[in-house]
Order: sequence, then structure tokens, then C-alpha cells
Amino acid sequence: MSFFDIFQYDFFINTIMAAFFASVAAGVIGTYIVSRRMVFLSGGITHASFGGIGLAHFLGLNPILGAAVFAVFSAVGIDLFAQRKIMRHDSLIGLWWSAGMALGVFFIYITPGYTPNLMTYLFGSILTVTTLDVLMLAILALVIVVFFGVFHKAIMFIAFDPEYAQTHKLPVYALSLFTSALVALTIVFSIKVAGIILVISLLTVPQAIVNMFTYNYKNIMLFSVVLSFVGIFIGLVISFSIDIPSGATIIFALLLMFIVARTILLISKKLKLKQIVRNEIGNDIK
Amino acid sequence: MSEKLVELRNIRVAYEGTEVLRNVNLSIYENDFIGVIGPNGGGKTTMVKTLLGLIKPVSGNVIFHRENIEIGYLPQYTNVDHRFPLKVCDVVLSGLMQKKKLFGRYTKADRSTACEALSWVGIEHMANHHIGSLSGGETQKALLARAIVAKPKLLVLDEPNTYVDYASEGEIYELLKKLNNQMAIMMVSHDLGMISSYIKTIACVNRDLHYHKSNVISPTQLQTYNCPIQLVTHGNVPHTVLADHEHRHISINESK
Repeated sequence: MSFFDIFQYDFFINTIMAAFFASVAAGVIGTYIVSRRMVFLSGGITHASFGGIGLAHFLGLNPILGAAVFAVFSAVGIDLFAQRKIMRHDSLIGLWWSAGMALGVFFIYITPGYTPNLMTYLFGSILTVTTLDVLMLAILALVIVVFFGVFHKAIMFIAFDPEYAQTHKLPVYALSLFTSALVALTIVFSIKVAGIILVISLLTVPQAIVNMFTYNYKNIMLFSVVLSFVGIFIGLVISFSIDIPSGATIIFALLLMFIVARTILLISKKLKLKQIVRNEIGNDIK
Repeated sequence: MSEKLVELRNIRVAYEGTEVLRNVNLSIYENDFIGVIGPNGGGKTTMVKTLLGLIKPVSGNVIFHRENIEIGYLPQYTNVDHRFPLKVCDVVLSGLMQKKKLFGRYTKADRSTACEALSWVGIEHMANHHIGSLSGGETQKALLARAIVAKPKLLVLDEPNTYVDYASEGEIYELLKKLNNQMAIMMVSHDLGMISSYIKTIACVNRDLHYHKSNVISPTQLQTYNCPIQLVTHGNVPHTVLADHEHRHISINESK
């Protein structure tokens, strides 16, 4: 079966739609995370959410729902603890990170009977997304686009210099908290796409690529959405061709794009330099 | 008689039980230009942040004597993330946020106000550059433009001379001097060196606040204020410190 034959299957339509909505959510949220230097925090939230997957499994609930509750709680929790200055911020994240993972494993193993395939959650399996998954991703993407569209100025302003924003009597705390919740939900709903361990690159690599070429926040958001969709698509093609889990191939595709972009940038810089040198030599001769 | 704008009354601030400020009283009037000096860790920034409402005092009040007093704020250099993807003009525009509330879009008029502010501080040619591509002096000028774009009644600056070259530092102080005709200014500095000829009064902060109604201060006075800071003496005159000089940096030997 060739790659393009699979378009006739319903599950693949779901996959492509999930890829699209996840790209929209991850592109916008990822730009926010990268700009605010929250990548490590996001990694912590992602891993902490595994505790929710375990607990939901133990209670017989929807694992993604459990992950969502855990992720939002850890996002808000880390924020609250950080404000009280109980311990260093990065140590705090490390604590939530490992505690969540440990809880997840604990609950999964004390649950009698069938043990779910952990690989699905850890490394993702975009081909198994359900219509419900797609619907949740679509709603999330819509909420994110509307929220960032309406509050664009305030969000940027707060992200750039929260203290200054506070002196302007903006609801810094409320907006930050809501954005943190959106970050948490984006991560959780993208777990099916790339997995707990790999989802962070969906939120950072496209942004890193675009950031090489522009410092414009809006452009970084827009092109990150495009790149992340392209990355997922290429990853799927590779996954089909050589039969490797899609989570890994998607990340490989993104990294490959990063390397290509980096090379293009280096070459174009060299060429520019050559041009400048040539012009100067030309001027000297004149 | 100029009008009172803001007042700090019996302010006490503590972090985790450690007292940083105690019994601080200070009134800021229209057209004041207060230099806030004191040793590192003496509570200068804490006082400024209390005034701005960023830190809640344990006791005491910040009293505004008029409604809706806007305060322009230039934070410490290290507070700003220089790699944040933002253009210089957008940074300045964000100073208009209070007036726009949460939803409003920036209008053409806002943009031209921002451009005016940038050209007033002398870096209009950098408007479309990335904030991280600016030098130390240019960054502080951009942040100054952001602080004044909304035409506040009070401007608060926290060590605006950090990472700024000597020439830009002088330019910034000259700008402040002009601004002082329209607004009160409070400027934190760790030394009195260059600022002494621009400020009008001095607040010495080292847990306590001692207000000194002149810009001339002697080491003995600093000692009684319990304010151990390095004084930059001009020439070899041992006790005359930072007399009121007309222009920036004329050595006392020359002026004799």
C-alpha cells in the first residue's frame, strides 16, 4: 500500500485534521512559551500530566481528561508555589515533573487487570486519534485563536515585561493564569500526536526555525503553524514508509527542517558577506 | 506652590520576616526631581516598587492626592528580556496600554504618538529594529520613550544608567531635565556622581529614609543619614561634595 492510498480511510482523515488543529494550537502557544522562556516549565507540565493519565486509568475514566486536570493543576500549582518563593523555580518544576510521572506509573500498576500500552502516551500515536480527540483539539484551537486574537496586545505586553504591565493596572495575574491553562491543555491534547516525551519539540522547534528569520511575533506564530503541520505530515510519510512510530518520525522531520533552515541561513550569510567583500574590492579598483 | 501628587506614609516592607524598609515617609510634589540613593540592598528598588503598587507593604499606605495619577516607569535593565520578539516601536506602544484597556486596537494616532516619543529621545531611526539589536544606551532611551509616551504626572526610573555608555548617560539626563518641566521625576541611582546637578533633592534609603531638601550633601550628612555610599568627589576638595553645578561635569578645580 502506498502512502497516498490511506487517504481513502476515515481514520486518516481524523489524523490529518488532528494534525491541523494541533499545529494551530502548538504554533500559537509554542510561540508564547518560547518567547516567555517557559519551555522547561512546559516540559514539567507535560510530564506531570502523566499522573493524571494513571489516575484516570485507575478510576476507569478517560485518560486524556485525567491528564488535562493534572496538567492545569500543575501549571497553576507551579505558578502559585513559585510566587510564594518556597523554592527555586527550576527545582520546583523538576519536582512536579518527576512526581507526576511516578504517580502515573504507580496508579497504572496498582490497577488490576489489563495494563495499557504506555508507549502510546509516552511517544504518541496520531493514527489512533478518535473523532472526539479531533473535536477537542478543534475547540481548543478555536479558543486559543480567539483568545490570542482579542488579547494579543495585552498578552504580548505582559509576556515582555509583566511588572510594567502591572503598573498599568492590567489583570496580569488573571491573564497569565488563563494562558497557563491554555498551555497545559495544548500540551495534553497534543499528547496523542507526539507523546509526552516528544510533544515539547512540537512547541519549540517550529518557533526556533522561524525565529532564525524573523523577530516579528505574529510572523513567528503564523509560520510556526505552517511548519508544524508540514513537519507532522512529513513525519507521517516517513512513519509509513519505514514503519517507525509516528511520534519519533514527526520529531525527526522537525529537526531535519531545523537543520535545513540553519544551513540555508549560514549559506545566505556567507553569500552576503562575499557580496559585500566583492563590492568593496570593486570600489577599491575604481 | 506646587501640588502634592503621591505620598508614602509610614511604609514598612518585609520579605520573609526580614525588614527591608521601616517607617518610610515621603511626599512627591509636582516638578520634584528626587534622586534616590543608598547602598545595594538598602531598599531603593523596594521603595520604588511599593510606590508603583508592585509590592504590598506590611503596614503604611501609598496615598494618591489626585485621581488617576499615571506613573511612567523605567525598570532596571535586567528586568527586560532583550531576546523577546518585539520591535522597538511596539515596545513604546505598550506604554499606551492603560489608555487602550484590554481590547482596543492601536490607532494611527497611537502609532504617531509612539513615533514622536521615539524621535524625542533621538532613536526614531530604530523604530522597526528588534529590541535586542539596540545598544545599552538605545535600549534605555526606548524604555524611556515607553515610560513617557502616555504623558504621566510622575516618572520613576530605577538605575537608568546601567549598561549605558557615558555619552548616552548624559543625553538621558538632559532629556530628564526637559521632562521635569512637565512631570515629577524620581530616579534611583547607586551613586551621586553625574546625577547631582540634575536632581533637586535627595532621598537616602537604607532601611530608613532620610529626605534631604537639596542636591548638595556632605559625607558627614550621609553618615548621620546612615547612608554609606561612594561619593564621587570632583578634584581634591575634601568636604565640598557635589556642589550645584550649572552643567554636567565641570571639575571644581576648573571652576575656581
